[in-house]
Amino acid sequence: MTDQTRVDFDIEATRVELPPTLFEGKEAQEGKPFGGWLAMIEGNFKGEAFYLYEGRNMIGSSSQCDITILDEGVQNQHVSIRLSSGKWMITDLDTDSGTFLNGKRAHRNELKDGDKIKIGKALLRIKML
Amino acid sequence: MLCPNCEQIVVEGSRFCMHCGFHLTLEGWADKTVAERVATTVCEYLEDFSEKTKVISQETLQQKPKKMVKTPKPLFFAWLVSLEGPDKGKDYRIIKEKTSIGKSEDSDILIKNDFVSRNHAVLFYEKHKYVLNDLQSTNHTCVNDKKISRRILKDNDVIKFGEAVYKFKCL
Repeated sequence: MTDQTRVDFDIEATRVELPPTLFEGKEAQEGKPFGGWLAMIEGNFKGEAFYLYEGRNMIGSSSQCDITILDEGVQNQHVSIRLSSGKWMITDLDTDSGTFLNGKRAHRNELKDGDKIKIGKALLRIKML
Repeated sequence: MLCPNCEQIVVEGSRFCMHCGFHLTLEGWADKTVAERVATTVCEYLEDFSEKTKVISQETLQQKPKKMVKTPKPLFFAWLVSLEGPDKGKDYRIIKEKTSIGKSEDSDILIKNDFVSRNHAVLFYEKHKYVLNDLQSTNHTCVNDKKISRRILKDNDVIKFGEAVYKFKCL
Protein backbone atom coordinates (compact mmCIF):
# COMPACT_ATOMS: atom_id res chain seq x y z
CA MET A 1 0.00 0.00 0.00
CA THR A 2 1.25 3.44 -0.86
CA ASP A 3 0.98 6.45 1.40
CA GLN A 4 -1.02 8.30 -1.22
CA THR A 5 -4.73 7.62 -1.18
CA ARG A 6 -6.14 7.09 -4.60
CA VAL A 7 -9.30 9.02 -5.36
CA ASP A 8 -11.51 7.48 -7.98
CA PHE A 9 -13.54 10.01 -9.88
CA ASP A 10 -15.74 9.98 -12.90
CA ILE A 11 -13.97 11.53 -15.87
CA GLU A 12 -17.28 12.09 -17.63
CA ALA A 13 -18.55 14.24 -14.78
CA THR A 14 -15.55 16.54 -15.00
CA ARG A 15 -15.97 17.07 -18.74
CA VAL A 16 -16.80 20.71 -19.37
CA GLU A 17 -17.30 22.87 -22.41
CA LEU A 18 -14.41 25.30 -22.45
CA PRO A 19 -15.13 28.90 -23.39
CA PRO A 20 -13.22 30.18 -26.40
CA THR A 21 -11.61 32.84 -24.24
CA LEU A 22 -9.51 30.15 -22.65
CA PHE A 23 -7.46 29.77 -25.80
CA GLU A 24 -7.00 33.46 -26.41
CA GLY A 25 -4.88 34.37 -23.45
CA LYS A 26 -2.45 31.52 -23.86
CA GLU A 27 1.09 32.43 -24.71
CA ALA A 28 4.29 30.50 -25.02
CA GLN A 29 6.65 30.57 -22.06
CA GLU A 30 9.14 33.39 -22.23
CA GLY A 31 12.73 32.58 -23.04
CA LYS A 32 11.84 29.09 -24.12
CA PRO A 33 11.80 28.55 -27.88
CA PHE A 34 8.90 26.43 -28.99
CA GLY A 35 9.14 24.12 -31.95
CA GLY A 36 5.51 23.48 -32.68
CA TRP A 37 2.04 22.85 -31.41
CA LEU A 38 0.00 19.87 -30.37
CA ALA A 39 -3.60 20.40 -31.44
CA MET A 40 -6.38 18.45 -29.77
CA ILE A 41 -8.94 17.38 -32.35
CA GLU A 42 -10.89 15.00 -30.13
CA GLY A 43 -10.93 14.65 -26.39
CA ASN A 44 -11.51 16.50 -23.19
CA PHE A 45 -9.91 19.77 -24.23
CA LYS A 46 -11.12 19.72 -27.81
CA GLY A 47 -9.93 22.78 -29.71
CA GLU A 48 -7.00 23.44 -27.42
CA ALA A 49 -3.46 23.79 -28.77
CA PHE A 50 -0.47 23.00 -26.56
CA TYR A 51 3.05 24.25 -27.11
CA LEU A 52 5.86 21.83 -27.77
CA TYR A 53 9.25 23.07 -26.63
CA GLU A 54 12.82 22.17 -27.41
CA GLY A 55 13.83 19.08 -25.43
CA ARG A 56 11.51 16.56 -23.81
CA ASN A 57 7.77 17.10 -23.61
CA MET A 58 6.06 14.69 -21.23
CA ILE A 59 2.41 13.96 -21.93
CA GLY A 60 0.08 12.21 -19.49
CA SER A 61 -2.78 12.59 -17.06
CA SER A 62 -0.57 13.63 -14.13
CA SER A 63 -0.45 17.32 -13.31
CA GLN A 64 3.34 17.13 -13.22
CA CYS A 65 3.46 16.43 -16.95
CA ASP A 66 4.32 19.22 -19.37
CA ILE A 67 1.06 18.58 -21.18
CA THR A 68 -1.77 17.26 -19.04
CA ILE A 69 -4.50 15.35 -20.84
CA LEU A 70 -7.34 14.09 -18.69
CA ASP A 71 -9.08 11.50 -20.74
CA GLU A 72 -10.09 7.90 -20.59
CA GLY A 73 -7.20 5.51 -21.07
CA VAL A 74 -4.49 8.13 -20.55
CA GLN A 75 -1.94 7.06 -17.98
CA ASN A 76 0.00 9.26 -15.57
CA GLN A 77 3.05 9.34 -17.80
CA HIS A 78 1.93 8.15 -21.16
CA VAL A 79 4.15 9.36 -23.96
CA SER A 80 7.04 11.73 -24.51
CA ILE A 81 7.85 13.83 -27.55
CA ARG A 82 11.46 14.93 -27.89
CA LEU A 83 12.63 17.70 -30.17
CA SER A 84 16.37 17.96 -30.60
CA SER A 85 18.23 19.56 -33.51
CA GLY A 86 15.18 19.63 -35.75
CA LYS A 87 14.33 15.96 -35.23
CA TRP A 88 11.10 14.86 -33.63
CA MET A 89 10.86 11.56 -31.80
CA ILE A 90 7.85 10.03 -30.07
CA THR A 91 8.36 7.42 -27.36
CA ASP A 92 5.59 5.38 -25.81
CA LEU A 93 6.35 4.86 -22.11
CA ASP A 94 5.32 1.20 -22.03
CA THR A 95 1.61 1.79 -21.55
CA ASP A 96 -1.20 -0.74 -21.57
CA SER A 97 -3.57 1.23 -23.76
CA GLY A 98 -0.73 2.23 -26.05
CA THR A 99 -0.02 5.12 -28.37
CA PHE A 100 -1.13 5.07 -31.98
CA LEU A 101 0.66 7.02 -34.68
CA ASN A 102 -1.45 7.38 -37.82
CA GLY A 103 -3.42 4.28 -36.82
CA LYS A 104 -0.41 2.10 -36.06
CA ARG A 105 0.93 1.26 -32.65
CA ALA A 106 4.01 3.33 -31.92
CA HIS A 107 6.91 2.50 -29.61
CA ARG A 108 9.71 4.76 -30.77
CA ASN A 109 9.10 6.54 -34.04
CA GLU A 110 10.06 9.69 -35.85
CA LEU A 111 7.37 12.28 -36.33
CA LYS A 112 6.38 14.20 -39.43
CA ASP A 113 4.37 17.38 -39.79
CA GLY A 114 0.63 16.79 -39.40
CA ASP A 115 0.93 13.33 -37.85
CA LYS A 116 -2.05 12.03 -35.91
CA ILE A 117 -1.42 10.71 -32.42
CA LYS A 118 -4.05 8.79 -30.50
CA ILE A 119 -3.63 8.53 -26.74
CA GLY A 120 -6.46 6.76 -24.97
CA LYS A 121 -9.59 8.47 -26.30
CA ALA A 122 -7.82 11.70 -27.19
CA LEU A 123 -6.80 12.43 -30.76
CA LEU A 124 -3.98 14.90 -31.29
CA ARG A 125 -2.26 16.35 -34.33
CA ILE A 126 1.24 17.70 -34.49
CA LYS A 127 2.15 20.94 -36.22
CA MET A 128 5.76 21.87 -36.61
CA LEU A 129 6.94 25.45 -36.79
CA MET B 1 -61.72 83.01 -7.55
CA LEU B 2 -62.87 79.62 -8.74
CA CYS B 3 -60.59 76.80 -9.85
CA PRO B 4 -61.26 76.06 -13.56
CA ASN B 5 -60.73 72.36 -12.96
CA CYS B 6 -62.78 71.52 -9.85
CA GLU B 7 -64.73 74.81 -9.60
CA GLN B 8 -64.09 75.31 -5.88
CA ILE B 9 -63.08 78.54 -4.16
CA VAL B 10 -59.31 79.14 -4.06
CA VAL B 11 -57.27 82.05 -2.62
CA GLU B 12 -56.69 84.88 -5.08
CA GLY B 13 -53.22 84.87 -6.70
CA SER B 14 -52.28 81.28 -5.73
CA ARG B 15 -50.41 79.15 -8.32
CA PHE B 16 -52.02 75.82 -7.59
CA CYS B 17 -55.54 74.78 -6.56
CA MET B 18 -55.55 73.65 -2.93
CA HIS B 19 -58.29 71.07 -3.63
CA CYS B 20 -57.22 69.31 -6.82
CA GLY B 21 -53.65 70.54 -7.34
CA PHE B 22 -54.45 72.14 -10.69
CA HIS B 23 -51.87 74.54 -12.17
CA LEU B 24 -53.71 77.85 -12.12
CA THR B 25 -51.13 80.07 -13.87
CA LEU B 26 -51.11 77.97 -17.08
CA GLU B 27 -51.82 80.29 -19.98
CA GLY B 28 -55.20 80.15 -21.58
CA TRP B 29 -56.53 77.37 -19.37
CA ALA B 30 -59.24 79.47 -17.83
CA ASP B 31 -60.64 80.43 -21.27
CA LYS B 32 -60.83 76.85 -22.57
CA THR B 33 -63.86 74.62 -22.20
CA VAL B 34 -63.59 71.33 -20.32
CA ALA B 35 -63.65 69.30 -23.56
CA GLU B 36 -60.73 71.28 -24.99
CA ARG B 37 -58.70 70.85 -21.80
CA VAL B 38 -59.22 67.10 -21.88
CA ALA B 39 -58.28 66.98 -25.56
CA THR B 40 -55.01 68.89 -25.02
CA THR B 41 -53.93 66.78 -22.05
CA VAL B 42 -54.66 63.56 -23.93
CA CYS B 43 -52.63 64.84 -26.92
CA GLU B 44 -49.64 65.69 -24.72
CA TYR B 45 -49.89 62.33 -23.02
CA LEU B 46 -49.89 60.51 -26.36
CA GLU B 47 -46.95 62.51 -27.69
CA ASP B 48 -44.90 61.43 -24.72
CA PHE B 49 -45.62 57.79 -25.36
CA SER B 50 -45.43 57.76 -29.16
CA GLU B 51 -41.63 57.47 -29.08
CA LYS B 52 -41.55 54.74 -26.50
CA THR B 53 -44.36 52.52 -27.70
CA LYS B 54 -44.20 49.96 -30.46
CA VAL B 55 -47.18 48.92 -32.53
CA ILE B 56 -47.73 45.17 -32.40
CA SER B 57 -49.92 43.69 -35.06
CA GLN B 58 -52.03 40.59 -34.55
CA GLU B 59 -49.80 38.58 -36.89
CA THR B 60 -46.66 39.15 -34.88
CA LEU B 61 -48.48 38.12 -31.71
CA GLN B 62 -49.52 34.83 -33.25
CA GLN B 63 -46.02 33.98 -34.44
CA LYS B 64 -44.13 31.52 -32.31
CA PRO B 65 -40.82 32.71 -30.91
CA LYS B 66 -37.90 31.54 -33.01
CA LYS B 67 -35.85 28.76 -31.53
CA MET B 68 -32.21 29.57 -30.95
CA VAL B 69 -30.20 27.13 -33.02
CA LYS B 70 -26.71 26.53 -31.76
CA THR B 71 -24.41 26.18 -34.73
CA PRO B 72 -21.33 24.23 -33.76
CA LYS B 73 -18.19 26.26 -34.08
CA PRO B 74 -15.83 25.00 -36.75
CA LEU B 75 -12.70 23.47 -35.36
CA PHE B 76 -9.62 24.82 -37.06
CA PHE B 77 -6.03 25.34 -36.13
CA ALA B 78 -4.09 28.20 -37.66
CA TRP B 79 -1.36 30.49 -36.42
CA LEU B 80 0.51 33.61 -37.45
CA VAL B 81 4.12 33.57 -36.29
CA SER B 82 6.13 36.77 -36.23
CA LEU B 83 9.47 36.46 -38.02
CA GLU B 84 10.94 39.94 -37.49
CA GLY B 85 10.94 42.78 -35.04
CA PRO B 86 10.54 42.91 -31.25
CA ASP B 87 7.77 40.29 -31.33
CA LYS B 88 9.99 37.76 -33.12
CA GLY B 89 8.93 34.22 -32.37
CA LYS B 90 5.57 35.25 -30.94
CA ASP B 91 2.57 33.43 -32.30
CA TYR B 92 -1.07 34.38 -32.63
CA ARG B 93 -3.64 31.63 -32.75
CA ILE B 94 -6.49 32.28 -35.16
CA ILE B 95 -9.68 31.30 -33.39
CA LYS B 96 -12.35 33.39 -35.02
CA GLU B 97 -13.85 32.99 -38.45
CA LYS B 98 -13.07 36.67 -39.05
CA THR B 99 -9.80 38.02 -37.72
CA SER B 100 -8.89 41.66 -38.19
CA ILE B 101 -5.26 42.69 -38.42
CA GLY B 102 -3.99 46.24 -37.93
CA LYS B 103 -2.68 48.95 -35.66
CA SER B 104 -6.04 49.94 -34.15
CA GLU B 105 -6.83 48.83 -30.61
CA ASP B 106 -9.92 46.90 -31.67
CA SER B 107 -8.10 44.60 -34.08
CA ASP B 108 -7.75 40.97 -33.08
CA ILE B 109 -4.10 40.86 -34.07
CA LEU B 110 -2.51 44.12 -33.00
CA ILE B 111 0.72 45.02 -34.82
CA LYS B 112 2.49 48.07 -33.43
CA ASN B 113 4.45 49.14 -36.49
CA ASP B 114 4.59 52.51 -38.23
CA PHE B 115 4.14 50.93 -41.64
CA VAL B 116 0.96 49.10 -40.69
CA SER B 117 -2.40 50.76 -41.29
CA ARG B 118 -5.06 50.96 -38.61
CA ASN B 119 -7.28 48.47 -40.40
CA HIS B 120 -4.75 46.68 -42.56
CA ALA B 121 -6.20 43.32 -43.49
CA VAL B 122 -8.85 40.75 -42.60
CA LEU B 123 -8.39 37.00 -42.47
CA PHE B 124 -11.48 34.89 -43.14
CA TYR B 125 -12.05 31.21 -42.61
CA GLU B 126 -14.68 30.11 -45.08
CA LYS B 127 -15.39 26.72 -46.63
CA HIS B 128 -12.29 25.15 -45.03
CA LYS B 129 -10.06 27.79 -46.61
CA TYR B 130 -8.20 30.75 -45.19
CA VAL B 131 -8.68 33.91 -47.24
CA LEU B 132 -6.64 37.05 -46.65
CA ASN B 133 -8.19 40.36 -47.76
CA ASP B 134 -6.22 43.58 -47.94
CA LEU B 135 -8.27 46.61 -46.78
CA GLN B 136 -6.67 49.12 -49.21
CA SER B 137 -3.80 49.64 -46.81
CA THR B 138 -1.20 52.31 -47.47
CA ASN B 139 1.83 50.03 -47.51
CA HIS B 140 0.04 47.02 -49.01
CA THR B 141 -0.04 43.35 -48.04
CA CYS B 142 2.32 40.91 -49.72
CA VAL B 143 2.16 37.13 -49.74
CA ASN B 144 5.39 35.45 -50.84
CA ASP B 145 6.63 38.87 -52.10
CA LYS B 146 3.59 39.42 -54.31
CA LYS B 147 1.23 42.31 -53.75
CA ILE B 148 -2.29 40.97 -53.14
CA SER B 149 -5.81 42.21 -52.55
CA ARG B 150 -7.40 38.82 -51.96
CA ARG B 151 -5.71 35.47 -51.73
CA ILE B 152 -6.27 31.99 -50.39
CA LEU B 153 -3.52 31.19 -47.91
CA LYS B 154 -1.55 27.97 -47.79
CA ASP B 155 0.62 26.50 -45.09
CA ASN B 156 4.04 28.18 -44.72
CA ASP B 157 3.06 31.32 -46.64
CA VAL B 158 5.12 34.38 -45.69
CA ILE B 159 2.91 37.46 -45.27
CA LYS B 160 4.15 41.04 -45.13
CA PHE B 161 1.92 43.69 -43.58
CA GLY B 162 3.85 46.79 -44.55
CA GLU B 163 7.17 45.98 -42.87
CA ALA B 164 5.92 43.39 -40.38
CA VAL B 165 6.70 39.85 -41.55
CA TYR B 166 4.59 36.89 -40.46
CA LYS B 167 4.48 33.23 -41.33
CA PHE B 168 1.16 31.48 -41.74
CA LYS B 169 0.79 27.97 -40.34
CA CYS B 170 -2.29 25.80 -40.50
CA LEU B 171 -3.30 22.20 -39.94
